[in-house]
Amino acid sequence: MNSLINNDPGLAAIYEENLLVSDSQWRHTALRNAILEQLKPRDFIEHMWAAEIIQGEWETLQLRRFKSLIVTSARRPALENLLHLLLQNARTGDIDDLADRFFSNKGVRRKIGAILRDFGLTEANIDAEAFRQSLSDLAEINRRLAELGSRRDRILQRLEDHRAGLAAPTYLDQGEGNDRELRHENGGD
Amino acid sequence: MASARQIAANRKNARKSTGPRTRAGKQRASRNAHRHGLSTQTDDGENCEAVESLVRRIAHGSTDQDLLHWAAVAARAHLELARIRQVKCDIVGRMARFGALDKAALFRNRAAAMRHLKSLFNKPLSKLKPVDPSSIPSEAEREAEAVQRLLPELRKLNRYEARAYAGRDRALCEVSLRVSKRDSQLD
Repeated sequence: MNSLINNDPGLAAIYEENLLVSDSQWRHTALRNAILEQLKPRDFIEHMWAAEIIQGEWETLQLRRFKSLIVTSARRPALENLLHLLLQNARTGDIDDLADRFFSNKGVRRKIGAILRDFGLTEANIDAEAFRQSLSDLAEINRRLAELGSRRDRILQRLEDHRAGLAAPTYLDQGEGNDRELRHENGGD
Repeated sequence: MASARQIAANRKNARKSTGPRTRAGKQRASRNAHRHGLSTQTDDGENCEAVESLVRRIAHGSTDQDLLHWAAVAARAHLELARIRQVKCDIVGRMARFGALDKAALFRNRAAAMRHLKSLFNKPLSKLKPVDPSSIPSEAEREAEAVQRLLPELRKLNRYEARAYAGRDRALCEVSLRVSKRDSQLD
């Protein structure tokens, strides 16, 4: 499939990828080949749908990775917030310093573990607080993930209909498909 | 709905109008056909060529005018989608690299910036804190932060993208419908 795409400029343009610096070209090619192996597109329209599925699946993987990184990076402010709650008499500078060193110094980590235990908390509470602080961003990303999922399912349906010669004019499903997607995008119902 | 008499009256009144008269009015009217943002169609030679090439591939040698029309709609929407996705990728990359999309106004003026630079250069090197390697974020972490900060912009771009996607989806379905009709007639 690789050679077919590389030797055909039209297909190469359809499958052109927009990768970020941290994205792996190798992983993208592997995902593309796996999807093409399953779908086995027969004509140019099917190739366009297949490319859309690949694009959506890659964005889904990217967003899932970003979600976990966003929660991880929120751990430091989350710990700071917890320490402010627990150690109300401590100076802000000291709390910042503790929160900074928690992630690099084993001694400080043990010390903070002991403070948390004194108040009936564990390190899991830091993760919970980090998750709470990232909720609005995660919700936004989840909306996009849901949209990409429904788009993929619809394309698979289109592909099946196309192969069976059952393609229907879109005004028949516009109310349920594209309009719903746009409503979803606009934050409506 | 306007009656025939009302329509005729409107037309008669409209003929009396000679368009905007003031300079401001003329300037405003000159922007009537202006489209902003990513919905602007670029009709440069390269784009026309790309559309034509895509139309030929989507229509698969058909000369049916209706099918060619929908193939052209799909091709234009496809190129718009590609453009929007390129923009998304670019802004995330730029934000990850520079931490901002626009020039950051860190200092009030050039003199303040120069004072800050001079104070940095005059500081003895021993007073500078060594950088903790674990505190330097990885490329993936920078991109995740960029996406997080760009969520409002990305939401707007996704709206553009959804519009272009819906247009292409509809056009491809119309092409598929005509192709299957043609094939069934041949059978």
